[in-house]
Amino acid sequence: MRAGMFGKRRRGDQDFPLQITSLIDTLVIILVFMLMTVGSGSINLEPASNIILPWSSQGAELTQGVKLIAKTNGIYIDQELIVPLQNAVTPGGTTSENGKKIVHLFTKLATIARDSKSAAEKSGVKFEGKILFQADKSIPLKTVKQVLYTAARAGFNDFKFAVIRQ
Amino acid sequence: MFVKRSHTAHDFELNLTPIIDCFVTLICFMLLSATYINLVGLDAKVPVTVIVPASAEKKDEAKFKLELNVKAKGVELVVSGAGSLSGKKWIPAAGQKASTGSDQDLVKLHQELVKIKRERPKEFSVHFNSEIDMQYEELVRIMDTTRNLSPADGQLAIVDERNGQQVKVDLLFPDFVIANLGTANP
Repeated sequence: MRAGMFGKRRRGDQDFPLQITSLIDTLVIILVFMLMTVGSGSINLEPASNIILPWSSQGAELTQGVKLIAKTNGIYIDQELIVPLQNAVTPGGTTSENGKKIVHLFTKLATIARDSKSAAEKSGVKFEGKILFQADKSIPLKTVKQVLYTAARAGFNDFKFAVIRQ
Repeated sequence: MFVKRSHTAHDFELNLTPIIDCFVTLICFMLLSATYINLVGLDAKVPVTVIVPASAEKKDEAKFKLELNVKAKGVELVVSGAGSLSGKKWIPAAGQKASTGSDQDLVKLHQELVKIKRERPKEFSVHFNSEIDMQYEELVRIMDTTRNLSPADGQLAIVDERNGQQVKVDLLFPDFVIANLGTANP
């Protein structure tokens, strides 16, 4: 009884070296997959909710930047509502400079730009002023222009329009 | 030579449990991390105001510039600083509305851009301006039209000045500059 529960197993025909070849194969596949997915400098951006992005046959990898989202009901930065929109258009009183600049968006972006610049200076990296722009395909050009103008005034001049590759 | 191996010491069942565990983990990982929509980015730039001395401004007058002006009844291409190529080209609307509600003839626009590119293969910028309001989707379609050469356009090569070798170019005018942001209300 005791021998059956705690007894040493006899070295005999039941001992064999563990076949780890398949495991190593699997791990190599996982490693390659991860390396391919997490490319240097590129990011995996998930489309924002309640948004229909336009299609495109062109396009390059997405890079890091401030995530600016224009939905039909508002303009968001990283899921935070900055300016509400009425039928994809900025309501009266939310703009300045003859309707070109969206005031709240400018304030928020200017703060982000200032923080990013000081962080970049400390780490010795150049501030690139990049924006990852996701906009609903039905947003009018007028609103897009307002957003671009506002971002440019805040110090962001390099835009990447997120689109779905056909 | 043809002795049958005995079913004793060397025969055993392969323990598949760890491999199956790995595959289950891998499948879960892939399902959780996979994004089913392939998002890519289209580059767009806005002009930056820079104060330049008057002498430098004069030099720039002869610089190549390609402008793409979208109007209600078509698209106007304006080429300047390109010698005999300089001038205006009018591409009338196709008359058949696309899903975006626009009827611009983007096929013809692409063909005209290819012609300009063949004359000026080292130029990559196009300045976009619109006199009409349009949906964002239409803007992306125009960017799509101006960005790359399609296989039907044939091949284009430029000479690399650093080593004198020919380099294949598959880009048309990828530097898309959205001009006239000051006129935000068309």
